Amino acid sequence: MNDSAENPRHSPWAWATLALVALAIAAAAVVFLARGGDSGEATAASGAAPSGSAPAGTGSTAADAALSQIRKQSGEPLLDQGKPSVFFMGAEWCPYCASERWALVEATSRFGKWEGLGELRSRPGQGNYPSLPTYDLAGATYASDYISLRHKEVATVDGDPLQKLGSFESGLVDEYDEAGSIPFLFAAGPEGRYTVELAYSPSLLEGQSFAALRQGVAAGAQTPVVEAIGGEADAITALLCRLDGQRPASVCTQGAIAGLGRGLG
Amino acid sequence: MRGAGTAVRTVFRDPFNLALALVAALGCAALLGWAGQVVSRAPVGGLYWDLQTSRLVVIAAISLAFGFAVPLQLAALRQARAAARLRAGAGFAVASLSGVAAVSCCSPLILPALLGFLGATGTTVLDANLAAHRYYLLLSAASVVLLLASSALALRDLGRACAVPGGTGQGLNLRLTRAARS
Repeated sequence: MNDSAENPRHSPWAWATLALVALAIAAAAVVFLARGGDSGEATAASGAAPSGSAPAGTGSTAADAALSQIRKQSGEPLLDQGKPSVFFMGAEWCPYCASERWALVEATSRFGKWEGLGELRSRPGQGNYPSLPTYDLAGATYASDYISLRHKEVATVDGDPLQKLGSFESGLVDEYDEAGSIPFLFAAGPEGRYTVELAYSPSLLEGQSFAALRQGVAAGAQTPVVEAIGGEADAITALLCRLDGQRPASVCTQGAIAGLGRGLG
Repeated sequence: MRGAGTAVRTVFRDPFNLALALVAALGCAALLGWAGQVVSRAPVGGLYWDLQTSRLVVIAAISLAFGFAVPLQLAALRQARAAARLRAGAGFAVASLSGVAAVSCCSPLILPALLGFLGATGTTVLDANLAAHRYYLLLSAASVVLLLASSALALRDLGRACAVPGGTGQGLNLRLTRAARS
């Protein structure tokens, strides 16, 4: 058997197509990595002001990044029990949900009061992250004069089903979370409906203890993770201020929050 | 599977098929690495690499099986009858999909798009995502097994072609040569 009999000849077009596919894969990888590297450097160089229980008071890079993750889905009004509606859906194993809960609790605490907040750690290895500290919202309740908050954890740390969605919540998922992704954070009011995506990497939570991080957030510590949580919380706060008519004034008229609200467009 | 060894040698002796296997395996690894968030990117915090051993082993196994299967599938498609093509193609597609589903985390990519295309609602897709997450080890194993099974089916078809004129592989070689020339 000679080579020409053993190996079918492939046209130059076939080789060119294969080369193009290889180049496209390499280019996509390079673009992905280059974009990620840029954002990391910008964050590191920003020196963003931290924020704790109160809004930050200055527009930070972290808050601006979080603002860019808020998307207006519709101009259609929506109220829940006569108040602007907030809905959070997560799973206890999910590292991204663990990250989002910090900002959610921080922001909504400015509008009302949580009770029964517990401590939780996401499942190690999920999304390639180690176990991350976060709030346990499954048994917690929230009351506010300004907003109506619903929150559901759809699976336990082990992945077993936990809380079922109600019809109102299912409707929101069907309409605004078509990919069924978590965390899902939704907010709506008289002037429209918005979704919020996590703006910071869960890797910032690595190596943190729940108690130390909670204390750091409350104190406005100048650490990357507290700045990221604070920035995300400020952006969510600005959104909620817009939806509830800028109440309470003590929160919504602060310089950074008012500025971020204008940035919502 | 008579002639399977000859079929493997013949298919992978072709430099084009070797290159195709390499590109397919690398492309699969890149896709699974992205879908499985081996490298993730956030506006704040930038890139995050986590080279967790178990997940990397799963991705490597699926990618290698995928790279091995692609040239065999293409060679078999040139040879096989319509029913065999459909069977091999369906097994290959299910294997690839289960591989993607297995390594997906919180915001999967391909599975929701396909389910959405089929008309599934957000809550249905959410349930599918949670189930895929819950059974990811099973899905990973199923993906590798199905990829290997689809390769075995392709090898069987190719082996039959190899075995016809004296079992030397000439039949397959001549058919592949004719197919490439036509």
